[in-house]
Amino acid sequence: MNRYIKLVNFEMNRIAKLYVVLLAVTFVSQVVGVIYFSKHFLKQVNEAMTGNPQNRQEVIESMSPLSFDQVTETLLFVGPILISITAVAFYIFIIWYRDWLGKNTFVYRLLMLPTARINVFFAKLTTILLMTFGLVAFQLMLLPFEMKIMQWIVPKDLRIDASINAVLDRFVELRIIFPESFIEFILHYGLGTIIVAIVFTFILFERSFRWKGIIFGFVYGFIAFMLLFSPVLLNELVLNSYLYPSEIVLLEVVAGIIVMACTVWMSHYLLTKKIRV
Amino acid sequence: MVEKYWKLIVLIVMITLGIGTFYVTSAKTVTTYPEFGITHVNGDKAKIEEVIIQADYFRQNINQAALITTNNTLYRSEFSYVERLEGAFREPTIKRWEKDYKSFMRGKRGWLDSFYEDENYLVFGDIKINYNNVDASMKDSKLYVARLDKKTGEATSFEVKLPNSGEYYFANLQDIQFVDGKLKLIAMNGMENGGTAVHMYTLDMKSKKLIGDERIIGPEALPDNQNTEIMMLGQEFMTHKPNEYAVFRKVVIDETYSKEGDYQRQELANELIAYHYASGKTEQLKLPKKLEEQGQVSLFDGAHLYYTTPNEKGIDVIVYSITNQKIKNNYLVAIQVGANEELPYMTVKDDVLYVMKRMVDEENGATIQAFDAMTGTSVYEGKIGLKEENKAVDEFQLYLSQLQFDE
Amino acid sequence: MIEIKDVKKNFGRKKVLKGVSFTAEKGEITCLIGINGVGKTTILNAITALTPIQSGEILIDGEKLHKGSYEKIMFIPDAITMLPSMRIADAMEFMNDFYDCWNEARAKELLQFFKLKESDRISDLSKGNTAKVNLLLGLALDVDYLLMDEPFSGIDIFSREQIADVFTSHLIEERGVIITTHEINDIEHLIDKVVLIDEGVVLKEFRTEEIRENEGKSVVDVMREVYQK
Repeated sequence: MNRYIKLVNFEMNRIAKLYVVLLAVTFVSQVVGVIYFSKHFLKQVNEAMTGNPQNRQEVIESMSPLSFDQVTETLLFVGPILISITAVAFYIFIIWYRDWLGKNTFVYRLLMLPTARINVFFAKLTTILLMTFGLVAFQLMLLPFEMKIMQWIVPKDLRIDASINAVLDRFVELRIIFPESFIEFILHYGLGTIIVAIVFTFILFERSFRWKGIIFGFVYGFIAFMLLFSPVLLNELVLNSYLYPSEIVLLEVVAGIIVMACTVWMSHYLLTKKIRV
Repeated sequence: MVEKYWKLIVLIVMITLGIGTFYVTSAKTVTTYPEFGITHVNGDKAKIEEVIIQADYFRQNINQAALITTNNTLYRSEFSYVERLEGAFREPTIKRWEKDYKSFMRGKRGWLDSFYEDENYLVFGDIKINYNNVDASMKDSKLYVARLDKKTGEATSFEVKLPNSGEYYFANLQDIQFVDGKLKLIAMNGMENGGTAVHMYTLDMKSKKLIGDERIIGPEALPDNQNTEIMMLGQEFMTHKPNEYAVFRKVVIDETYSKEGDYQRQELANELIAYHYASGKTEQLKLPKKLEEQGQVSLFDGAHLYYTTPNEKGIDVIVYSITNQKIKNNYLVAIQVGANEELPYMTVKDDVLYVMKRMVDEENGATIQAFDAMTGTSVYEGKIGLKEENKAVDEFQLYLSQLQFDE
Repeated sequence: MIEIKDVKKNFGRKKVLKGVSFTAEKGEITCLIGINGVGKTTILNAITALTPIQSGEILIDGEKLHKGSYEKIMFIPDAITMLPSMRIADAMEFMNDFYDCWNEARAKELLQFFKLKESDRISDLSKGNTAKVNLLLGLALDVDYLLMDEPFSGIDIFSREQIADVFTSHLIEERGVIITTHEINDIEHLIDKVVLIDEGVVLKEFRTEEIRENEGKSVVDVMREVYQK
């Protein structure tokens, strides 16, 4: 087994407990949310029927039936997603700083491993990606299950059954996390990966030069972002929309690859030549 | 080995299954939207070969935009990522130009208003508004035109200063035409000191110069509580074609607040002004009394006005010729419109009047009919509905919003 | 041989190393001694590329440090270097996982030698036992060179004796060791070479044997001479 995979496994095991807690919170909160919301809906229907219990049909027609996208708008559903996003965002920083700060100075071990130091960088990046994809996959598997729960509780004439895509189409923000097509999935998360890599490089600047590194890091980050979005910026500001949207996407992919290569090279340089324990 | 890596393995399996299943099944669910089509009832099928119906499909809480042609239905989610990116629902004419004249069309993404096309040329015009940072005026604005010779592939373009642009606070291009080697650009300009003016800019392609700035409709000095609204008649898909006339509706509105504070709005004048491209003459149309009473004109095809009124027998159509300033014909289109039903969609293109009912549901289809625009003779009739294989779909609605023409 | 050639290093404006040069041979124990502390740890960090240097050159058996060097040289810092949540067994497994030169038999021997329990968590260890675990993890690697930073500081007397015993055992034989310390009493008789450092410069580099035989002085005598000048 090569050392990069060992490192990924090691990093994953380090976060495993917290990660399971995150999954569990998502599961419990959303399932409870679905049950509560469905029951609450039934209660409303029953209350409406108390006046004239015979006229179920009338009540059904006067109330709009329950659909799953209404559930997705509740705090119990969205909350865990927001918590997960925040947790991953924080962990992008913590995954590095936990090795330096506090009593434990594990960074000695990491930097003295008999492997290229950039593997430490790659392992941490992979860990962030795996965490993210894991949460995305978990949510995608949880959705059909939650829809089933709603179907168990709410009778057929009081609900609307929809596909996951129909639910996501009505909640535009979720489309960023669960894009419509696989190509978009690759593009969204490809961009995300590059941004995480740039943040990593920023952290390494700070770890190499401390206070001064923060300034270097910001300068580097600014240049990297400008380069990353240069096709869009040039097309809008200089080229008067000369390029077609599909060409811009293609150029963005090229710019992304270039920026990623630069960031990896810069991180490699900092890790081998400038890093401080 | 496995013992040591089991967490990682579980995670990777979960990722592959979760995300993989989602994208594999969502690729399948796309095809579960029902197929609609146009079934021929009678008449000449060729009349609707170019027709694309823009529609919105509603079922329970699903809402998908779709394009329906004679033989297939394309839902928004069925378009590829690249097609959606480029704009799956943009005008088919623009799609065609972008395909045929890819290089010329660069940086010219806009509405059909900005284009003109005939056998020889494709022309593009634009008002490049440039706000001056110092005095916040748009005095540095420019007129830009580009022309492609479709046969040789040669493109020429130039820019001239927009005359008196310091006096405007907005300038909207309305139409562009190519008459006798000269480009004619119609713009609606908002005056800094009140009112709206319609300008005709004439540009000479040879000398690359602005040779005329004519005010077709001038801003009027009106009391404070009155203002003019000017609108150019026409339909999106015809503005790029050679047209005889440009027609504007000018409405003078009086807005008052009574002592009780109630808002009152009154039309003081409502007139139609026609500009003849070939002669450059502007004329206020003196409509016959019958049309004055009809109120707003419904359709304009470049040379004729169409006044349509639904009645118990169908839709009454009056065709008015601008050239002769006379009513040319008056006929009845036999389409039953229910009391609570929305008026059908109507449009005129190439002397054909299209009338399309708007709602399709699980029980009823809609009709699309085509008539000779001058005489009202039926030339085509078709039914828009579910294709045979989809008849089992439960409750849904399909709203037909408008027609596009893929020429 | 580890060669340190004219190494300069600043922390901001402060010059920590102002051109330090010395060598450490394989099979010998070289002791970096300094009163003020600062520069010694920095030198060890610099040798293992844990901190950048402004100029100078560091060679290990004639080569600059590269990724493979960590199978040849190991730094044992004066800090907890394994995750506090790990048990000693986990830490050993981690080393075994990543290092080809990990010597499991030696590790087991060291466990017994230091009287450590595999099931103990790093976070529960005393300062002395933490230092012993660090030593264990370093010594169990079949590396040619070991760098030890203050292995005796802040540690109880019994642990100190145990650690000192390591230096006379076969665990150190054949290897080159660089050790930093400010109290040399425990190991004076073990060291082969002394490098006296102060204010970022090498004040004196000498072999203990020569000093003892030729001048009849102890290391402390020389230190007194040098520092009280």
